[in-house]
Amino acid sequence: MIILFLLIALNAFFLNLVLPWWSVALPGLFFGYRMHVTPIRAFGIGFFAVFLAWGVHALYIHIASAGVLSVRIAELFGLKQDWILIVITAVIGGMLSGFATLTSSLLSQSRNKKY
Amino acid sequence: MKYLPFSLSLVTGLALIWVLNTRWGNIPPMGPFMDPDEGFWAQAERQPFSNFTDQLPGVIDSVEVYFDDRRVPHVFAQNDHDLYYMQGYLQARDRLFQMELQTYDAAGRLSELIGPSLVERDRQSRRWGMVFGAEHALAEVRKHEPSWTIFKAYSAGVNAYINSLESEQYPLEYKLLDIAPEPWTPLKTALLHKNMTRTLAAGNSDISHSNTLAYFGPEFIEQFFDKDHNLLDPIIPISRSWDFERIRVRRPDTLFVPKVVRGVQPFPVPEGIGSNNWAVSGDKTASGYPILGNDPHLRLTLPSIWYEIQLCAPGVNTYGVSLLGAPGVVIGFNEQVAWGVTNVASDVLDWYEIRFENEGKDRYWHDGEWKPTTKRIEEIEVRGGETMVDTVVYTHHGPVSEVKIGDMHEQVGANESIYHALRWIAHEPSNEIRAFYQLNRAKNYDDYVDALTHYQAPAQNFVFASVEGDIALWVNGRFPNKWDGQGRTVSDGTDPLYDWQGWIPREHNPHIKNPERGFVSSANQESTAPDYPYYMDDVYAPFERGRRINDRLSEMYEITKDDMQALLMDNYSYHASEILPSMLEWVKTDSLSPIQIEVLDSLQAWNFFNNAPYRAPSVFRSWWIVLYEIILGDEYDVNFPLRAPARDRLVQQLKDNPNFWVVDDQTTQRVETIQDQATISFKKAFDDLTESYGPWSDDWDWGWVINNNIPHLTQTNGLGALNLYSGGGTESVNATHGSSGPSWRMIVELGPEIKAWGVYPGGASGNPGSPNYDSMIESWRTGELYELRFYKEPPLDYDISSGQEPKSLVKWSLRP
Repeated sequence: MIILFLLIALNAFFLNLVLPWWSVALPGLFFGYRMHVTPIRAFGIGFFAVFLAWGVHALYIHIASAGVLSVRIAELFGLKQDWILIVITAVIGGMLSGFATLTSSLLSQSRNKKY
Repeated sequence: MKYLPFSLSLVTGLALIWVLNTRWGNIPPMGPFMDPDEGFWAQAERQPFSNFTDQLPGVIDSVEVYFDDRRVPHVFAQNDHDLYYMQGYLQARDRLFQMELQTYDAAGRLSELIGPSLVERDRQSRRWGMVFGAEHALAEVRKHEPSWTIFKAYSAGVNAYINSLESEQYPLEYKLLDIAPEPWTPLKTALLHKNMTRTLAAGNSDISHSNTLAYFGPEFIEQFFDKDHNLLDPIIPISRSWDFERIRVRRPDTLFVPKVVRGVQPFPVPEGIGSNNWAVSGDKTASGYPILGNDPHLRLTLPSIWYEIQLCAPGVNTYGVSLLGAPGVVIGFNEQVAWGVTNVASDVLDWYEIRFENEGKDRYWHDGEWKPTTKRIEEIEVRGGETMVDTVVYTHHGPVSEVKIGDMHEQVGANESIYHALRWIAHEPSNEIRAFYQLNRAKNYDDYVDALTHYQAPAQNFVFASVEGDIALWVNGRFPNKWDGQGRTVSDGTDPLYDWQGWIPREHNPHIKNPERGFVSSANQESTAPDYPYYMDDVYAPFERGRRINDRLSEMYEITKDDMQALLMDNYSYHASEILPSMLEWVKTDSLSPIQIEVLDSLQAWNFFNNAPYRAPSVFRSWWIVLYEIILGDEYDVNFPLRAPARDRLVQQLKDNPNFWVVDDQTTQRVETIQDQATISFKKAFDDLTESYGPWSDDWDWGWVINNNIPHLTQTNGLGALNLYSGGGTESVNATHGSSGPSWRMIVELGPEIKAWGVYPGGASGNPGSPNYDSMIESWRTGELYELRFYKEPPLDYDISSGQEPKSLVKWSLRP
């Protein structure tokens, strides 16, 4: 399971470098099909994998740029703390990947069912 | 059924993508916007700015660009094409959104980017003929081959940058608005100049003046709006005599009485637009060479309106600030000369009441016959809405707007439409870039004068100093030759005597070279004493800043850069010194509380300087505003625009005749005296300040009350610099106030080694995710200046000229 989790996270990270934002759904779709777990776990694995990928990426930029822009964007959105911005970023990526993983895991399970 | 959970999940996932990929109101599409790789995160600068060697398609020869510690680019090119190509490229790289926004605004295309909320502004831009004017300008530019070459090179440079961008590299604002840049064209550069002309030379009070004349009568006009010679300290000293006869124009026997109208909403003229400049001769300086100072006051925004740059190629080496979207340096210096500008408030915009034959508006009455109109179809694309089509009718005067009738007018039925045509300098063919092109290369006074002949609008007081020791000032631009008072009121569109009958010959423009007093200066006040043979306008800035500068310069000798810097930051308020002693005399102290007496005492002790740590300026200013409102508020409570007296004129009236009729509040039974009004207004001002800033304490410091904020161009939260604790005032030389003030402070000391200092409130980069976005604001706020690094030849990798620690430069080497 940890392997699948890491595969989703890494693939999402690298695909995102060359494809638009929605490409982080692709690893979930691909690996979710090979995941024989409960729907909640499938969603959770997909969610946290990209939550991690985007969260770490955003956190790195935040630190490396000394928060020069995150502070401003946080203010723009009316957020009191700039770290919330990193969480929102991570959640957006995570949600997308979560549903992608869930969808394809449900598909594989449905096809294996008799009726 | 077995696929139901899958289907639900799939639909939810797709819906999520759609929701996150869509712009909701002002909220950008959150998916792409928050994407750490492509979204706003990508704009957070985290790489150190570093040396770079590469090909740059489009340049003819190799180009080197050195960025100094403030990231100001110093461009060294082998030819003019590459020089302006690089300027376009660098400006786009640092300020692309600003360049586009300004020109979309000028073209009346903002609704394309933003949506229906800006349709009215766009329609007005079209009705004012902004594009029409820009097209005329461009046709003129094309006639002059070198100018046209520069326009094209500059555009190509901008486009080279735009074409190099992937969508993740779009500046932040593009991501916020979910838009993409479009190619730059020479027309956009022309549009930018029209935008400046609209900012600086669209002021007019034709309608409000007509209404005021009809409503209050000629005596009121004389009292408040005719020239007052007591207040005069004109730009061209009174001692200057004029050795020419004016070119005569015919004037009508009686003045046309236009219909009282509400007019069209004027473009919001930002308060606090004005500027200072001066040059002192070598006789008055410690070095023996002239020193020049300039600070144009404009609306302050982030990014700043200016872009600092050095441009060096065979035949030119100039340094200064440029406008975003136009090649060349606007305010600056080269190895031989320095120049600066302030705005001239001449009347170069007039409204004409038009008589159409019928509603078809195909013909209008002029000079005893029906003349044909032309029509221009304007299509305004609206984001998220239908394209709006507007037909703008043009007469020989200019484009026509429909205006609303004022309430007091009884002669006209409410259904009658009234049309005003706009005659405006911005519609004349012109090529200002050529003026700057030549000015950047000027070697002496004659070159400067020759360069200025190509400059038309917005008219500027061009101050000048040269290493040869000359100082000069030309009130420069193209001015219509008007009869006395022409265009103060709305003009008769049918009578050719109201047309602009010609131009003031360039050599008759007010100017002065090496005056006896040893300095020249301007601060938007009257250009000349009344004996100047031509009529230019009756609206100028109050005399206060100009007189302060002249007072100070007269008494200064052995002048150094530090003296000039102190003058740029001078916070003295002539206004307060003129009226406050009277106000303190008028106010009745027996009805005041102990705290109010204490506040009054602080005003008594005040030295009239609008310094940040003082509380007196806050109290004085609030008190004056309330007093002005109490005195004039009742008379001016009508539903059509009236012209309000200038600050310095009202002060003069109150001092000369404290109980003249407007002082009384017409809405009450009793007759209020100036003593009553001063007391009422003082208490109200005290209450207002208490309400806004709490009890009398440091929170009343002028530094806070001045309300100095520098917002982002789009007023977006988080992207501005707010609550900057500052001194200054609209009536002070340091004209910082609210969101307006000195947009660029510059001092140039001429000499064998030219030295210059400058600062603007912003930074080289327009990217809010760059440390260089607002890096100079703190220095600007405290009045510090940076020494400008002007290189006579490409610098070594280390700057050793100052003899201090070597500072590294970042070098770009570009080759075709």
